[in-house]
Amino acid sequence: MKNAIRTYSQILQLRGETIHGLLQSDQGIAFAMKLFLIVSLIAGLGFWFGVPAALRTPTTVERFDQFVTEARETVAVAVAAAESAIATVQGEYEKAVATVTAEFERRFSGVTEMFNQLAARFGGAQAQLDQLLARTSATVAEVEATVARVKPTPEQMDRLLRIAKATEPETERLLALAGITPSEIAAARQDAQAQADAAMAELQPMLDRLDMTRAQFDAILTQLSATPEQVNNWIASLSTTPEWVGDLLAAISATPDRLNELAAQIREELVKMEPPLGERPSRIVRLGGQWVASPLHYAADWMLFVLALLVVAKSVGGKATLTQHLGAVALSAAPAVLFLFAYAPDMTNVLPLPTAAAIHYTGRILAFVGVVWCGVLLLKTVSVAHGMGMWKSAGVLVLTWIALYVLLPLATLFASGFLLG
Amino acid sequence: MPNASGEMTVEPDESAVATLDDDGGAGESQPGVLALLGRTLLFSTEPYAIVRDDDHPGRRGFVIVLVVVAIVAVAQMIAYWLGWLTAPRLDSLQGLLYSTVTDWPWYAEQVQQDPAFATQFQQGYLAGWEALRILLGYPTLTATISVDLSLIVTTFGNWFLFAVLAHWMARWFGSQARFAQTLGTVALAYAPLLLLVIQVVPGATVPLSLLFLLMLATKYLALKTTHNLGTPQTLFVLAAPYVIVAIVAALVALYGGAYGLEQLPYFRDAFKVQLFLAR
Repeated sequence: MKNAIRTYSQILQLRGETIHGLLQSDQGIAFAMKLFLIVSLIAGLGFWFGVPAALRTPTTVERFDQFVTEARETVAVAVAAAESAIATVQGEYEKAVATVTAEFERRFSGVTEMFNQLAARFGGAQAQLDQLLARTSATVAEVEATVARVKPTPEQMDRLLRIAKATEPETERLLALAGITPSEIAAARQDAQAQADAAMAELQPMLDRLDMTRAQFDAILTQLSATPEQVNNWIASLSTTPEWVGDLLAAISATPDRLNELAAQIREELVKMEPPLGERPSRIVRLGGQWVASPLHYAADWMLFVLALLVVAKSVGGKATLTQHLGAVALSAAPAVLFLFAYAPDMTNVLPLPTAAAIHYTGRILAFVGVVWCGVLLLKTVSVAHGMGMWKSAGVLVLTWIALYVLLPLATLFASGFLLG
Repeated sequence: MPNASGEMTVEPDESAVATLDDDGGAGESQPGVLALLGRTLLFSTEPYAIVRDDDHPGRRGFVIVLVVVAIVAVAQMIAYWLGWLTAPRLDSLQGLLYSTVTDWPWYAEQVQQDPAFATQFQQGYLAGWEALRILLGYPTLTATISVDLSLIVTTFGNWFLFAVLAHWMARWFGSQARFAQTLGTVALAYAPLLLLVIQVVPGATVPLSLLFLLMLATKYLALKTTHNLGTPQTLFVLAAPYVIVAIVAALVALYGGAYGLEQLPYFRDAFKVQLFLAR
């Protein structure tokens, strides 16, 4: 081991006698091959800088969970923003309406009062009754004043009692004033209930599709200040049916649940897709595979050039055999340990940006030194192997480059032209 | 210098003669196939000489190719298993999509129109997923078995064909070597295939260009050792089988393509018109 390191050190020093001695035997060439293997494996250790990223990068399932969480958060934020905007607009609107109403009241209250008095005097009692029936709320006094002037029907009286929210004594008093008996008002209420039931029967398919009880629907109607008949009228005005509206509302209300269900199914499938060894351990194992194969990829990058170099060197009087030539080129890779950081992947996602940049440029600087050193050593080993001077070796290298990257493409072009012409 | 076991104990001041003294050595027992292959991978010329001088070089060459192919085939199977452990499992997704597609009204219509559609669809679907797995670099049993079978067939076929053509060319240049010797030494040239063994580690890949170029180099050494021709002649003998095979393949493609086109009615009619116009 000590001797091997000493030999390695002498190769790095470009010592001709060491290189010559190694290239004269099969064992020396085997040493060169092993040296190349070890050196490129050391350089390939740079791949292991990818371990933190491999461990830190989320798995597919984690990424999906993250996506779902972000989607939920986004939806929640969007809904909150929309609600906030609506509330703001509504608040502004109400404020504006209140302001305008107050201003109107302040400026025209006298005129309005006079107009109402004139309407009451000259507009007729029936118009006053119709105006009252159209309202959603009224005071008992208003009802009393109107009933005193015009006699409503039992149905109209029932409506007036409801909007005035009259108590039992008030009801009795108003009924007496209107000349309506309790049995007549009861019959009117029965009729109203029957109409409501008929309207509800029409709306029942919609409630069924929404899985909603009558009480829940009534609560909604109260909130909307609407009657089942009105809802039916709205649906009819849309030229559609309660069934269709029910389906649409059910689909809209079920969408979040269905999305959750779909997300759960996708997650289950993604879990099933995970490698048996787990995603992160698999990444590490595959990183190991890349590292083990790094000498082969390094060799593959240069093999064609190396063989072409041999042909060119032999054609200008080079004396090395194929094995000696390959050994010489393998020895020239001795400084390749400097490529260690050049193999390191981008580390910006695991290290602070300045540190990652420092590592990156360290790799570039060391690799530059390594390339220059390897190049000079290649000149030396080729000159020793082929028994030629350094300048001639340089010429051989240049000629090989020209042959591979200029002459060969041109020759291929001419050959293709000849064959296809 | 490294000793016979390959340990790196190089003394720079030792002369080359000293290393040559350690180089194999006559009278030693014959190394085994694995030792020969190992030394071949390190570009030693000694294994070629050993096989060339063997009593039955052809038989030895057959054993060498057999060992290479067996090791690589077993390694591929192990690589499949280890690769399966680290590759995403697509079976569930494949089944889910299949059941989804077969639930479509379109699928039912197709099956109604053609009862054989279901079988054809299933076969195409399975083949598509196999192709996808191969494309993504995930191991599949079908691909592994196919690679193993093609490896066995092509390695033995190439070995024999190359040896025949190269031997024929070398004899033309005046070589006195026997065909069995060419077979034996050329068998050693397939040693670089052993590099495929590293593919047992998931994620490790071997560039095919490297394998080809390494085998080119080892074939050169095999031919040089066996036939003892000059460098240009050996290079010619090395390149000739590839050139011959390339020309034959081109001719087969040309004439096969021409024959195939002539069988198409449209082209046949077009050729008739062309002949008529040429008169």
